[in-house]
Amino acid sequence: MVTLTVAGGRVARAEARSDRPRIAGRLFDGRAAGEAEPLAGALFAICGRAQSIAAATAVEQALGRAASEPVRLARETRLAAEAAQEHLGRLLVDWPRLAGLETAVKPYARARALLSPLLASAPGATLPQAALDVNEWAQSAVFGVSPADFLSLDSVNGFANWVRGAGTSPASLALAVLERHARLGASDTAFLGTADASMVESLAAHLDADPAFDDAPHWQGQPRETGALARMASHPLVADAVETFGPGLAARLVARLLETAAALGDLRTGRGSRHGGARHGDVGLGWAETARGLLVHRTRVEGDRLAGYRIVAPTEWNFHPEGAFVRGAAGLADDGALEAAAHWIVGSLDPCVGVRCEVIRA
Amino acid sequence: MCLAIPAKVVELRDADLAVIDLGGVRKEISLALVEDVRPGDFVIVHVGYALQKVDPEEAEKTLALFAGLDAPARASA
Repeated sequence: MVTLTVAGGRVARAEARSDRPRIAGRLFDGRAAGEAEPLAGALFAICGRAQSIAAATAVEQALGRAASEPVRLARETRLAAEAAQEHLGRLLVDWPRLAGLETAVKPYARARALLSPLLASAPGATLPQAALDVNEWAQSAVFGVSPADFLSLDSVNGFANWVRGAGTSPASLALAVLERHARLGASDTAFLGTADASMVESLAAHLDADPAFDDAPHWQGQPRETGALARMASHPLVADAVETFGPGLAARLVARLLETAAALGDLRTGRGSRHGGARHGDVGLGWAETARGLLVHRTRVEGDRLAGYRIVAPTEWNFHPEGAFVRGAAGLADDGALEAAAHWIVGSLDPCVGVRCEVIRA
Repeated sequence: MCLAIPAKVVELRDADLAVIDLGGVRKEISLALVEDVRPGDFVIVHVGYALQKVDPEEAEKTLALFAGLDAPARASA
């Protein structure tokens, strides 16, 4: 639930309240360690692969084990496929709807079908044809050029040329965003870059010290934006988009398109670094970079049973009480389109649950 | 996090739409992203779209698991 309080014709206060209960402990604690991976995959409606991979990695870390290389590579394939699938859902369906454009539901259904063998990638399996097929589909339905060529765009001028020439539904979406909402939702929220073991270990210390950290996570003393924009900030096109429009809708859209192209490229090469683990005392941590941002699972294993299970989801970073949504919505003009603007900012941060928006006019 | 609560399809409608029953609450959703869904099947729904079909046995297991949570936890999913 987000609430905007208007005074003097502008949003004087924006609030984001988490009504997502902390239930990881109740669902996982006391179960056999081996149940964590399948349970996490079944419990969550979206990002099921990331959830199960973060769970499996957290348990391995708690037990002092490491996954074999074929297992690690299969996990990377599943994560790249899931990231592409989630990004494409925003680019083809959810964001066109927010922009008042026609949605591309059928192309998205086709993308999901093409990604489905890669989402189920097993250790030792290689799926070169499936990776090729989804890349060819994306070239025609999303980019109008090869994903690799799109990834090499390095300036807003180059991107604007792409928007005019690509002839795809995401290019029409990009045109609408550039013309009407390019700066919307920009704020001075710091970015949470791509995770690594040391970042996740420092998060573990905060989790130990603060039972409410899961609801309002922070890093190095600040709330952070997580997700495509934060991870891709050093890409030359993203850096130019941030410089030109601020870190708002246009920059988030550009970063999503680039990450989609990168994920499709990773599916072809079999590379990727979207997950990992860390150990903090007797606590195991597993992390995965999902389309929405950083996901962390944390558990101990006591006599083969899970204990102290906690999950920090990307939505809690971006909808932190002082985070990217709240700062990005502050000061918006109450100009007759405030609700639509708020929904756009929410959508650009892609929460993993439906978010209601309330406007209070004093 | 969005819990994957299996919803039972109770009625098919035109234009890839269907009515689901989620713990007694009925809602119209889109089936555009899944294939071959019939009344009685279980699906996972997210923001108005069925994302996948769920094996009925798995669905019952998951529903039993969520039934152990208190009402507010389930309502917010």
